[in-house]
This record gives sequence, structure tokens and C-alpha cells, in this order.
Amino acid sequence: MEMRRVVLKGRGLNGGVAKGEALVTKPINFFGAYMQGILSGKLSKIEDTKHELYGKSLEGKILVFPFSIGSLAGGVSLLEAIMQGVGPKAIVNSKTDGVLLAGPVFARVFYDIEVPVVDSLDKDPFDTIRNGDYLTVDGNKGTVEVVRRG
Amino acid sequence: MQLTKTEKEMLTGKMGPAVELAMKSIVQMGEGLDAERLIPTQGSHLGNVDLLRHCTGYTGIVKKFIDLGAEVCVPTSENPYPADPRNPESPSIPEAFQGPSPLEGYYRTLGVIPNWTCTPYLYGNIPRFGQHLSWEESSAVIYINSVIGARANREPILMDLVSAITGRTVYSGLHIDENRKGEILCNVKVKGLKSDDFAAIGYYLGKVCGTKIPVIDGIQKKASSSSLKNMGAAAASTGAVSMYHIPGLTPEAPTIERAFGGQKPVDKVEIDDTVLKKTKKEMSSAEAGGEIDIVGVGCPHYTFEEVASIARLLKGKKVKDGVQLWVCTHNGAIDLAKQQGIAQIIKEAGGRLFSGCIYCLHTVNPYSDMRLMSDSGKICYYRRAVYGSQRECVAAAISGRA
Repeated sequence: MEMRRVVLKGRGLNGGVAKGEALVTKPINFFGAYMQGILSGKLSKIEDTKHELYGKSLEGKILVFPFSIGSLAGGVSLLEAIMQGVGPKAIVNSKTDGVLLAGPVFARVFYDIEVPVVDSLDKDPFDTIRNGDYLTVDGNKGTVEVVRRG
Repeated sequence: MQLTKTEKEMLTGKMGPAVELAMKSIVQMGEGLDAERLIPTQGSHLGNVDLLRHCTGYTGIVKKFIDLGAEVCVPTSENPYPADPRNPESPSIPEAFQGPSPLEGYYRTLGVIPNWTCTPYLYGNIPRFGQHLSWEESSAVIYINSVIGARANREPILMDLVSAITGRTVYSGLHIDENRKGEILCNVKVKGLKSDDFAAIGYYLGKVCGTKIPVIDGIQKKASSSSLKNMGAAAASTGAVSMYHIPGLTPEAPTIERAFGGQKPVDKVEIDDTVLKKTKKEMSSAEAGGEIDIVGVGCPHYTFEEVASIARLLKGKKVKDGVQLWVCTHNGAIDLAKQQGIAQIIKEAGGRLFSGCIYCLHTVNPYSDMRLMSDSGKICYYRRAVYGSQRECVAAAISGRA
């Protein structure tokens, strides 16, 4: 079986190393994605009916999306998903903002959970990464290794 | 990132373990966002915390700070609760928000001002020109940047809290002079412009401006504090607008030229009668003309003037049986309304005057499925609702039809 390997270089915003399958998607409002879960205290799948990931779980995935949108509760919602074990293992963005970054940073500082975040890659991640690619995200070095089989 | 001597001492625990932990979070956020330094802040405002009462991640962090003996070191206020259990006129509390929230006790321990309003700049936590602040609540952030000339970004929840404990935030965005210049020129050419039209103007501006700063000309004569509040809240909902200038009116825009800081606008937009009419229609995501269950006004919280104005419309009238009229405002305005007999007029008409949050209440059962009408651009963006001016909202509450 043929295997291709590419390493993208960018900026590490939150440290740690994570490996897993890529889930490539559109901008996300994490508060909208989990609102009923936030209200009940139990999060699981994406609830936003307008989002293409509706009904899917981010658990164990490396989430690749351009940037976050919407509510200032986005980061705290992402933190809750991470805490409850249903959040992504790592995040790759075109550009990360403070609302999103608050989730992984507070998970590290307060709960010792590492969810690496990398953005500003030297190649467009949406040209380079496909759903199902195997990624290694290094938030310390700011790199994303992409391995594609087949 | 450059830290001052004091900030380094905070980070190494010299000011205690709570400040150390809060500082650690801010420094990691600042480094992640490539900030050159931090900026001292003179106040904080905490966001919609009751929505988070079941979140172990958030409550765990606040509890940790309490255990470490944390206190806020700058004036810090908090957003309203969905309903107010101490006020008999408040709508019944949905199941999701029943019982005391653990957060409320934590906030008293931290020293947070219990003003419970999304308009803290009117009641309980009033900023001054030039102050750097760490505020959540996008409708408040756009008001204090634009109308008061204080400096704040749309602060993520959690950052507002750690800023309150350290008196620091990341030096970025609207804290920096260069980023406060106007970018888009917006000419409003509406015949017979009314203060009621401002929510629709804001609704349209948010869509065309995105994150950019508009310089709005042509609204000066009708721009009351209430209408500016309503315009900003809508613009901060349909877009991520955090600041606007109005030449000759807002403090950083003595003239159009000064508002743009000597640069040319990157874009120009015009709002005329046609745009305004079309926008008002678009604001109604639910069909107008049908029956309604709730008329909710005061998002953001009504000013005292708006409360007085709705009372004038309600005097001697009666809200239709089976329809609820929610008038949300801060407790300062409620006290004044009680003193002046205005609260009594609203009560006799069958309205509920309380310090609450229409947005939060309408998120959950039993209210989320009810048919809603509002004069708020923010509500009309986030919830399925019919838009109407204050006068139209009152008429609908009386007839039961939007």
C-alpha cells in the first residue's frame, strides 16, 4: 500500500503532542454546537442542526477547521467537551482566536489535559489534509504531520 | 512576551496561589495569541454564567479560585440571571435553572458586584473614558468602546474571570490606538428617522461590517443612549462589530476625518428607507400576522427611559389573556419605576417588569417553543421571533397577534 507523508510547519498555540484521525470541517460556534448539553451538564454529539457535523462526535478526532465563530462562551463550551472526554484530541486552524484558545489553555492550566493547537501553517491545511488522514500534531514545535494511506 | 516586574512576581506566586494560577492562564493565552505584552485593567464584567451552572469545567475553575482565597481586584459585575426568584413578577423559572446556582455563592466570595445586568455601564459598574477593561457581553463591549471611549475586546468567558483576579489582560485588539480607527463609512439617509429604527440599523451594519469599525453619519439627532445601546447590540449579534464612531457624538470622533484617523474608508455603505424596510422584514424569522405567546422587550436591559415609555403605551390597557409581556431591565430602573408609579402601570396592564434575560429564558422549556415577538435586534437574530418596534410590541401584547 502506498503511503504519503507531509510535514506542515506553523505556530504552536498550546503545547502537547496528539495523534489521530483528521476530521476536516467548516467554522464552528462551540456554544451553539453544545448548547443543550451545556444546559443539562452532559455533552456528547454536535447539536447544531445547521452544521455539517450535526449528530457526529468529535471524540478522539483531530479537528481541522478554519476558525471559530459566534458566542464568547465558545471556549468554555469546548473546555467542557474536553473535560467530558467528547472533545477533539487536537485542533488545527487557519487562524485561532482567543475565544477558542481559552478552552485548551484552561484545560491545561487547571486540569492538566493537553489538547495541542496549531495554526498559520505554511501550506493551506484544506488543500493538504483530508478526512481520515492520520495526523500527528505537535503544539510545542507547531507542526502537523499528515500521513495518507492508499 | 514582555512581562513587568510586578507581573513576573504574580506569575511566580508572590501575590498568592490564586493570582499565580490566574496569571499563568493569561500568560499562556497571551503567548498563544502572539501578544507583545499585557495591559493593566480597571474592571471586569462576567457573562452569562447561569447557562454554565451545570458545567464542571467552569464551576471547577471558580471553585479552585475560591479554595485558593481569590478575590477580584478591580470592580467586577455580572450578567442577569434568566429569571429573578426574588421578584414575584418574574416569569416562572425553567427547570434547567431551578435551585440556587453554586456560582452565585462563589461570586459573592470573590467580591463580584451583584448588579445582575447586561447593561452594567448604566448600573453598578460604570466605566470612564480611556479605561482598559476585560468585559464579556458583546452588547456591553460595543457600547463602552463606542459611546464611553473605554477600551475592551469581546473577552472570552474565563478570561474575564482571571482578568478580574489579576487586573491584567492581553494587550491586543481595541486596547491599541491603531486598531480603533474607523474603517467603513456608513451614511444613513432615512426620512423621518426614529429612535426605534436603531435596532434595524445595527442589524444591517453587523452583516456588512463583520469585524470592521463603521463610522455612522446621519443618525446624530436621534441617537439617544437607549437607541445606541439597541443599535450596538444588534451589530454585535449579526456581526462581530465591537466599536463604531458617530462623528460629533462619540468621544473618539470629533469629525469624520478624525474618526478614520487620517485614513480613507476601505468601504462605503448607505442605509436608506429601502434598506431599512428590507432589514426589518428580514429580522422577523417567524411569520408576522399570527398569534403570539410572549412579547419580550429589554434585550439588552431597557434603560429607565424605555421602561417609562412602554408604561405610557400600556397605561389603561390590558395584555391579552394567555399572552405574557416581559419587560426586562436592571434593578436600578425597577426601583425608580416603583417610586414613580410606573411599575404599577405595567403591572396593572398585566406586564412583568423584572431583571432577567429573555435570551436565556427563551433557550429552554417551556419557553423555547412559544411564539415570541421582540423589539430587540439581538433577540431577533438568535431566536425565532417576530420583530416590531416598542409600539408594535405593545399593540401585539394587547391583541395577541403579531
